[in-house]
Amino acid sequence: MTYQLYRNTTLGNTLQESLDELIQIQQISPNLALRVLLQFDRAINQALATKVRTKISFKASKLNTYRFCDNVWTFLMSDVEFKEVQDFAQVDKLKIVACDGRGEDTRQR
Amino acid sequence: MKLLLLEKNKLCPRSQWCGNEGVMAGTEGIMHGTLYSAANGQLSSTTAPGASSTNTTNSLNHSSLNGVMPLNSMSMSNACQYESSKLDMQDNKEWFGATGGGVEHLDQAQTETQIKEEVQEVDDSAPVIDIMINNVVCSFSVACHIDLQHVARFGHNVEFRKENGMVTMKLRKPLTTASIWSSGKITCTVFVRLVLRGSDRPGQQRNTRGNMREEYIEKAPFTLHTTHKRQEKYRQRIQRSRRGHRAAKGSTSELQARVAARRIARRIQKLNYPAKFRNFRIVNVLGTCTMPFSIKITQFSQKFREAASYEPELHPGVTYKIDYPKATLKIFSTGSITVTAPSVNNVQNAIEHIYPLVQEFSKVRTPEEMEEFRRNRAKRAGEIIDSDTDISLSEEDYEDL
Repeated sequence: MTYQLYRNTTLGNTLQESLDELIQIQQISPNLALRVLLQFDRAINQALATKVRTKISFKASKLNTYRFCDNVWTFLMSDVEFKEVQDFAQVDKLKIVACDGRGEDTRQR
Repeated sequence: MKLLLLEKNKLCPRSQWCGNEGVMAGTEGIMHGTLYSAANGQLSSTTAPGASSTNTTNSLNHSSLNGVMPLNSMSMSNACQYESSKLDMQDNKEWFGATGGGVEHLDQAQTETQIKEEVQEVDDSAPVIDIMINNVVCSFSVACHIDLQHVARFGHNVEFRKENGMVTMKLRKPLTTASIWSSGKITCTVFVRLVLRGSDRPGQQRNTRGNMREEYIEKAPFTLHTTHKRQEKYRQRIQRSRRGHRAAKGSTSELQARVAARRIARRIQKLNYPAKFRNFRIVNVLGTCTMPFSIKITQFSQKFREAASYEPELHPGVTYKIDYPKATLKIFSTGSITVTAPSVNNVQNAIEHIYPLVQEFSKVRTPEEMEEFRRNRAKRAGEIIDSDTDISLSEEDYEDL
């Protein structure tokens, strides 16, 4: 199931911007840009599902909102701490959008 | 709470709603004090409807014996005039004495001193049982169609599953789960962790989450024993309430349910719907309580074939339905009883009703059962935030039974 979830990531956004630039200067057609994005969706879904092995845990002090609609979970949390083996990352506000992975939950900040 | 049981057909004519109830005690007059027959080892006789919520009702808990309804003199039976009751006292005194100690309508201080000695006898035979109100289910309507997709996408703390056709919205305080339908109908389950205890705190219903609230007087189908002051307060509240009598009644749990329902309606209103608060009614109140003994449910179900239904292969408990007060009880062999009834009062009355019936089939807990019980209690106690010890029965009491 290829979600277009990852288009709104840093990677996805930069790709989209680059494609838009190329369309602007008439180097590629919009149709081609669309095809590229679809390929991107497939690639990133596959990569995250198979190639990524690292695990990060996080703990939030408060879950502000949760939402479940169209099989998509959305969480809004505040004051979150991410922990990897030795790395820590602190964040004031966090939004998690999660689609059904039938295996792993995929996320996006 | 001392469980004192009510003889169903007899109502104290001095009930706060005596006029409304329209049932009068027989000519022999009802004695609220008949507890004293409990001294004979029989837990029968009249009660003040439980525990709960209000105040005094755990009558015969010495300290909470405030203003118990006076013995009737027939002339006063229809009048709820508390002032005059004091005069009655004199007349009734002899009769009181003759009947072995009744309960008079006195000021709290006097009552305590007078009743204290008599109550001691009752203490031993009447166990204290806490009723825990778990849930209140209510339903209401916002009187407008709701676009569930829209609510699901822009509401907070919502879940929308198309197969159910409804949006589930949860509230943190009071802990509530509301099911919202597109027609505008909403059913709301409010989790109320409320323990109806007896005794030590007359007039207060402790919400185990830490809020102590003065309980408003509930409408009881049986006599309600309470002080002048509290009744005054209640009457004033009814008068002050714009919506009239309807809004003023209800136990803390029922009021909380209403508050929760209103909060949900408000949330919907904030999503730009012309929501109104209509047709609020309490559907169910779920209460649980544990008897200090195990119950032989097979024999119990055999004795009460009309009202009880026991299908061990389907469900490990006996389902016992009673018509008045309307309630459904599930009785388990461990001694736990869950009651679903239309109001908190009904829950209390149902438990009072079932107590003697169940006691007949009581059996002492075996050591294994005790272990199980202790484990369950510890588990439950962990969840309840309560500064007091929340189980009033001590180990010794079990041994006695």
